[in-house]
Amino acid sequence: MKCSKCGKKAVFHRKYEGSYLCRNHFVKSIESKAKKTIRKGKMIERGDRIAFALSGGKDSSAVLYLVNKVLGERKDLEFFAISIDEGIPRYRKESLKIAGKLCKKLGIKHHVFSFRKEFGEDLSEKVRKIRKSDAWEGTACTYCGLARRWLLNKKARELGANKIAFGMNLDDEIQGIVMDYLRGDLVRLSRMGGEPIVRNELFVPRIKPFREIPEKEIGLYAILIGLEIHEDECPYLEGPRFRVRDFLNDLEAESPGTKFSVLKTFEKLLPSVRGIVKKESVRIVKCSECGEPSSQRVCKTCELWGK
Amino acid sequence: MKVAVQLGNKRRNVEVPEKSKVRDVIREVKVNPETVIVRRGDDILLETDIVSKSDRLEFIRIISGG
Repeated sequence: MKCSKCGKKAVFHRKYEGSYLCRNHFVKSIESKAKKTIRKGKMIERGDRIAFALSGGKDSSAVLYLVNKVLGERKDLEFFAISIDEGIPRYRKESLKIAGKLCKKLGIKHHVFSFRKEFGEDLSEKVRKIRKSDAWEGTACTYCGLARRWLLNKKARELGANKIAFGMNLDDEIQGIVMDYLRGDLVRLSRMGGEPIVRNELFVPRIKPFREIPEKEIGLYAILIGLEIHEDECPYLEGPRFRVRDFLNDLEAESPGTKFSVLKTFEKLLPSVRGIVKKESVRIVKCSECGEPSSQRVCKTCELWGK
Repeated sequence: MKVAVQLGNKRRNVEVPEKSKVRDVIREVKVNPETVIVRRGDDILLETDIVSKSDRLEFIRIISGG
């Protein structure tokens, strides 16, 4: 098939749009979609100092590459990257190597922090020690996600960032939305919008320039611009989120455009959700153990990791 | 006809009728088309591209976690 724009050989069929795109037009379309999302959500503004959460996977590598490509020349903006080493044997070592190489290539300062140094043990030890005990809560992703978010927020703030950029794509975004529906968690759902929300001075607002781009397209973009991709899946991956992921992918394959429908419908409902949540608003306090922001006296990270 | 498929570290041969399309091979391998990009050498293939006997297709997994 030929590119709908120039007639060259197509590398992608964007079914939900009915278009075929060649390499150049595909790359351009991803960059212009991300720029539009950034503009629409006022994600990047004059004077921003942005920390990129960089795992070395395709999404976080691609968002750093793209934002640096389109805005890297701006003198009023400052970018640096933070990677978290959870201590997942083999898996993380490989992706951190890729993250380091990318930062070197782009001339971006790279900071790496580890669970071992911050919490006294890494994820694999934690899982081994308490998985079969009564203290175990949820899945390995519960422990990992909490500690990772805690550490990213703390380090980004200490390094002077006023925003954290994530590589989350459309698939991640709608999986989160569906998960919040399934859990009935309106508070989390109310924070899923496209603009950075300032909830408390201790929380660094998050931006997600890829939130309207499907995961497959980010993958293809990463391949076409020549990023080294870490293809392995985390060995601890488990839990209902991944069943939701497969379910949404099945629906998208049957009815292209389903993923966008989930996001667009949610965005129409968001003002109402925020209205409800405002009435039941959660007070943010400083955790009595670590001093980080929390909705409880002791934050969940301290509870699970004994910080 | 037989087509060789590389999926991650695993390699297998897939039997499909002559003039099959990439989408038929994807179906035979039992992966969701949303989760893979198919490459033949340096070329990225569309689901509607025709595969030939002794083609070597690389399935690049796109879904991730972590």
